[in-house]
Amino acid sequence: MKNDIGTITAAVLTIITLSSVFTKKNPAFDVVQSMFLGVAAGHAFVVNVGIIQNSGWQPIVQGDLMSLIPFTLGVLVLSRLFPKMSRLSRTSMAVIGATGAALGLRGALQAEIVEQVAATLVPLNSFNNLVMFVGVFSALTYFLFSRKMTKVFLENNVLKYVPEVGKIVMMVALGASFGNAVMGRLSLLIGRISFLLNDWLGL
Amino acid sequence: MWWEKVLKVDPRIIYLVMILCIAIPLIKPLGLPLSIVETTKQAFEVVEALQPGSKVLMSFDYSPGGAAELDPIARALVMHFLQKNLRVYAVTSVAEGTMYAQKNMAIYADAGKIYGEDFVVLGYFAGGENAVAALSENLRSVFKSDIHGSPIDQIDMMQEVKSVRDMDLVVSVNVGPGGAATADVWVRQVAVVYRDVPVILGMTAVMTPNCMPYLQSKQIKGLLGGLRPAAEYELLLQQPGPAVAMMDAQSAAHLTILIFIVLGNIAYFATKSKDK
Amino acid sequence: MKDVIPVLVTYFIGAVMMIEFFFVAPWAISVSASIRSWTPVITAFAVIVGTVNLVLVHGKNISRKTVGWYRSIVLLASFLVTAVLGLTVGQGASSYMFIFDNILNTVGSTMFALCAFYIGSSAFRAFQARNLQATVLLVSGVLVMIGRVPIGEYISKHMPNIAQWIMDVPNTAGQRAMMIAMGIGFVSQCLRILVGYNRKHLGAVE
Repeated sequence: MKNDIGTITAAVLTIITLSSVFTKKNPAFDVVQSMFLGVAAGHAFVVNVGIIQNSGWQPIVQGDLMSLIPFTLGVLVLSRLFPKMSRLSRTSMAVIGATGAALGLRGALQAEIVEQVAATLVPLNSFNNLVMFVGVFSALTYFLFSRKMTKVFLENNVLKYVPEVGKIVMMVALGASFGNAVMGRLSLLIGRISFLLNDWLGL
Repeated sequence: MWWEKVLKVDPRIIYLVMILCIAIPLIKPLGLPLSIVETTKQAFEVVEALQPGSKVLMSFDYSPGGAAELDPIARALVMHFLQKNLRVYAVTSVAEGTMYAQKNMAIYADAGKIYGEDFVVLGYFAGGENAVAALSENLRSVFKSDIHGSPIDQIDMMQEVKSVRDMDLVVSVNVGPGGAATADVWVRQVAVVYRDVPVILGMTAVMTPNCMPYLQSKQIKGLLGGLRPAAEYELLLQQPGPAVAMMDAQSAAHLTILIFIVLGNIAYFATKSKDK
Repeated sequence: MKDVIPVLVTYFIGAVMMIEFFFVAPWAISVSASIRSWTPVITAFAVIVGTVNLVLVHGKNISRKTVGWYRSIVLLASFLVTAVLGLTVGQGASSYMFIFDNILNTVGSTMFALCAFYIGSSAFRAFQARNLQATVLLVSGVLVMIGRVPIGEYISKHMPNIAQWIMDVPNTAGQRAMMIAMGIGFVSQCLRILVGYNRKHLGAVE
């Protein structure tokens, strides 16, 4: 059993947190939860002050006057703490929002639409390729929301089954997500129990 | 009816059963065999193909919530980089990631590698997708110094690096939503823009199905999703570690969930037929 | 009229970045690169606003002695200790690493680990094969769940291959369709922001 203060602290906090599912009211867990939030906020504060110091302020001190622009825009964001002055932050938020939207638009067009469609257009010379093509096509028809297109499918005796096949394909995909979600969440619990048994108790 | 009582069992009994089913294999491992799947081999071979001295940009984009799955992946990758004598530039888009970057890069320090020549921890970058795009085209636009405050131009291994184009591999070990630069950000801003530079993603099991299309369309060259690929990677390195040790418990836990699902469905159909 | 400058800034940045992407224009590349390099600093200030706001909210709870105000004391004390240590001795100091390893890392991991209990409970009560689609979801999930752990191989040597096939083919097909559909939605949302229809990202105004 490890007796150093760090391991004992971690073990006690782990047990208190795990105990929260066994009890309805748990003041010890409330305290631990608040401690965690405070430490997380403190760490985020420290790290971001470091960025402002190194990437925002230092370049200005070293003579790079262009760095005044992001620093000034950043200082304007602080006006959100004062409701009457919060309008001053809107330009800074516009810079972040517009940059993100432009980059996202460019990236998504290429990575998530064009290249994904291209990767679906495979030669139908194997079972896997056939399943891939039929799966993507039928699942996409499920997402057709315009009344005109939905009518075209539902009023045709053959085409009306295409969205149904799409639903099945998506259920398989969601089932795979579920299986992986189970795996992922259990890994987290196994990690904590492993810490208690192996690292703390030395079993 | 008995099955109705089964459906109404106190959930705390379920939780206790789960803890026991996980604890027993951790204390007494079962030694179940573990094969290596194709996706893990694919990622392994990408790193294996690199020459000694190659440059790797590695982003530790995870927080405590994903550390149980992602830290073993990151550790296995860093050990492989060490074996291959690669130079690692460590960054992170998550505030807590700085600590994981430092802890994992301590493997390099412990092996006698020199900070600033073999590895460097540049630290945290704020800004998510915007910052990934910025640092990809010019690292110095985002990082003016490393995590210790040393000016970036005074670091030896930064002299020959300007952008991602100068890297031989980009890796993001990514917690997904909850992080700032999610896995799809690295695909949109790095993988499809700098096509000569291979990208490997490490991620939680939850996110893996969502990112399979990127692998299948060859936008990324490797994908390690969850604890099992971490265990497989450790076996490929012939250095079994924490991930391998947890696989038996993972098996027991999955079997327990399967039994719960079967019991729950039997109870459902039994009570349904009784209602009819 | 109140948002004239932010909307003009949005139009300008959107236009420059689209020109950079679709045309060969060195001036657009240079301007876009500069704008992108500004965002980490601005975002850092935004995170500071978030953390300071948290402190102010909990400070108010303490001064007004609202329900559970003792939790706010714990939160503020933890915040102050972490921030002061981080800014004075630095993140590499053993005291800071102690807080990170034994409080932040430990409690954060354990809180996410609680989801596993709820999955166990849901497996018992909610994962039922009520209809064809639910059955397909359940069967696919179970095959992947068992195939991706060593016990699956122990049950049958084909289990890992079945699980991998489900992940590689039908899962990829379904996820790809969702990705394309969501990509189209995402592109339209980005366009709405860039042309100024959607201004929610600019934030609330007094």
